[in-house]
Amino acid sequence: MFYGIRSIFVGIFMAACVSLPAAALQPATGKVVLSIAGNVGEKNSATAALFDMEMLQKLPQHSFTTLTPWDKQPIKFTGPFLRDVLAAVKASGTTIKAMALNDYQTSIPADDAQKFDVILAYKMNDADIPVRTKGPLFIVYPYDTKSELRSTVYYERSAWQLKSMTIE
Amino acid sequence: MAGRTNNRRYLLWLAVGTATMALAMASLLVFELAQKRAIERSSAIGSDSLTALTFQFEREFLRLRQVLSEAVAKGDASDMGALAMRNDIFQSRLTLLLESPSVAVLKSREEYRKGVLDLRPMVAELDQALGAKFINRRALADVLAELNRLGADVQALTQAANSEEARLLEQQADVMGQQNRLIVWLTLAQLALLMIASASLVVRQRRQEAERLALEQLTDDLREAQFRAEAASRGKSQFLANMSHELRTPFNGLMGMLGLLQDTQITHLQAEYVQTAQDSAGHLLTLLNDILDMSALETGKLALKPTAAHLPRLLGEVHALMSPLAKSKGLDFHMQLPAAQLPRVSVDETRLKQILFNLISNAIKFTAVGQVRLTLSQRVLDAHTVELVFAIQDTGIGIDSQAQSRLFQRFYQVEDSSTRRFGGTGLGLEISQSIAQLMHGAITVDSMVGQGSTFTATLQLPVVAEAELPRAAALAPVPASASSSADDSGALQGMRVLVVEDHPINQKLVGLLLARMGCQIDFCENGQLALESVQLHAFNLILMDVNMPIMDGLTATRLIRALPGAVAQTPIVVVTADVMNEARDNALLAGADDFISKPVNVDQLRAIVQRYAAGVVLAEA
Repeated sequence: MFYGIRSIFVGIFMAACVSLPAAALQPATGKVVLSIAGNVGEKNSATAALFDMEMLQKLPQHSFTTLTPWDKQPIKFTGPFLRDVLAAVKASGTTIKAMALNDYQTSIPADDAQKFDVILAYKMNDADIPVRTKGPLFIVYPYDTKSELRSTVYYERSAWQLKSMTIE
Repeated sequence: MAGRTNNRRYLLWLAVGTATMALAMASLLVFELAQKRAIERSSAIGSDSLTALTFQFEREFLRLRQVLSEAVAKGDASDMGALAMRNDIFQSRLTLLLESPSVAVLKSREEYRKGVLDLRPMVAELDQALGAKFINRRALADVLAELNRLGADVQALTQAANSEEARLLEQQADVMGQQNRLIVWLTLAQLALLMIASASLVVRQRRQEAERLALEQLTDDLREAQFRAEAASRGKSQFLANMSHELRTPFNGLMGMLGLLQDTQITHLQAEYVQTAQDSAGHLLTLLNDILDMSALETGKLALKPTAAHLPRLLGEVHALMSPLAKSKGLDFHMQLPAAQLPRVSVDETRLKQILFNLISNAIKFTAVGQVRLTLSQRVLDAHTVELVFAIQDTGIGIDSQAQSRLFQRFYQVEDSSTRRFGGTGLGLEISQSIAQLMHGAITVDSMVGQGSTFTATLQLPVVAEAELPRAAALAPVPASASSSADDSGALQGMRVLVVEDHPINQKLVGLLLARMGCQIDFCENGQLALESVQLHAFNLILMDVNMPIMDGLTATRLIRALPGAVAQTPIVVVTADVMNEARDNALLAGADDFISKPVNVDQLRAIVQRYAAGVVLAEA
């Protein structure tokens, strides 16, 4: 929980500085890092909602530190909540199909985003995540907060090198 | 003792059994915990399976090789972006293989060194080639050649990971199997222990039940034995009472005949013989009475019959009876009465006399020379009670203190040797003591060997108020002056008496006595005959025995009383050898006018006949 207070402060600060996401999704100006297709209410392209890094950084930001099965040390992850990202595109559906750069696919129940503080991380230990590590985007659950999260089910849902999502 | 050892052994076994069970359970718990931890660990570390990691690695390796091969073939800079992306993804996979904790088991294998570690120079070469400003096709071609060479090693790595994973799984299965076997054995052991424990519990329970039953049986046996012993004791008392009763009937004849014999014309020597015979009979009667009293006391049937007693007269009678005995032994016997006037007291005279006779005759018996003295003192306790102290002092052999303590016990006589010398039942003192206790008193002894003894009877008796006296006087027995037989015969002449008696000797005795009084006598052998007889003739008196064949005396009395007419009023006197208190009560209850006990005494019989003869005269007048 030691990250919790800070993340809330950060969240409030961000919310205060940046006016809440405008009704219409702005078109991506920088390099597209994430595309969300399927049942989304807001699109800024013909088929999908496209995000560049700047757009993600404009959403309320959160951080937490947790141990993962892929590293021996605890790592601090930073990024917007997945639910905020989904809200920004007015996603409606029960399942999120996440797809990674290496063609890895996984299904995430939409509920997970509401039940847990799942982060769409773009920073690890305050540094950008290169593709060589697990970047540029990484779906991270707060594994340390609940024992049920420390299981293969959630480890499999934690997609790294995230490229796109489809809401079904 | 054996039971206690058994119990201790049982507790020991219980403790050992419990400890073993606890140990087995603890072991099970430890195993289960170990298994749980192992499972947790495998889920934490093995979340990324080894095969998945190597498979993904090989896949990215092949994709990189393909993109590179295309780039080398085309020599086009436009593909460089895609190549760089593939390179990055490949390297992320490589990093995982280098750093992921899941890979630890693989690191010791040759395939890991060839398939992962030996790749690093090639990767560095590719990074360098891609980082250059201009595309160096030659360098890329070298890397491609290297990638082609390494293809077999990367595939071998996947194979190795696969076999390693299989081995791990097998190992885990082995461990699990082993633990499972252990758990099964432990559970079986527990089960066996439980069976043994419950079996031993059952055995113990059975044994305890058997012991309890045995104990119950023993208790029953003991109770039965006690009951039988009590019954035997009661039987003995009853036998004694019956025997004394039976003895009295022939004894009655013996005494009566001796009395009659004495009044006949006999020589001086013959008179002396008869006297001796009478003395012996008298002694025998005393013994018989002792036994009867004893059984009455034992069965609680002895009750006192207090009357207003005139103490000086009573003591006079005692003196008159005891002085000849003392004189015959050459002893002085005198009495000392208190100066103050003695009050009338309510007491059973016969029983009081019995006590005094016993104590005085004992004193005379055990004194060879000197004197026997009876001293009476009184102490008024309150208006209704006086305490009388009869002290009988002798100058006899005395009693040592050890013997004193046992003096009042049954059958006890001062010395074994003295039993022979002095005779007696040994019941006298106990009876006297018991009677004294019934009179709210006690008998104590004070004695020194060679100096003589003092027996003291202390009795607390109720004082009779003067107002009650006249009535008491009226009930007084017929004066003793009636003993001169010569005058009576006229007075009783013509009196008709029916004697109902089955025993021929008694019939004869009573018949002789009554004939001498001048009575007219009829005999019946049982109650039935008597009942018929009274309806044929009028009698002035009926003497009725109790125990008879066909119809007993009490039934006959009841039936006569129930007859119509004047015959029902015929005076009936019950004569019986049964001297228990209830015998008198039963007689009076049946309707008898009076009661006399066997052996029939001449004076007693005369007094009775005279009483009812007087009634006849009164009725005629």
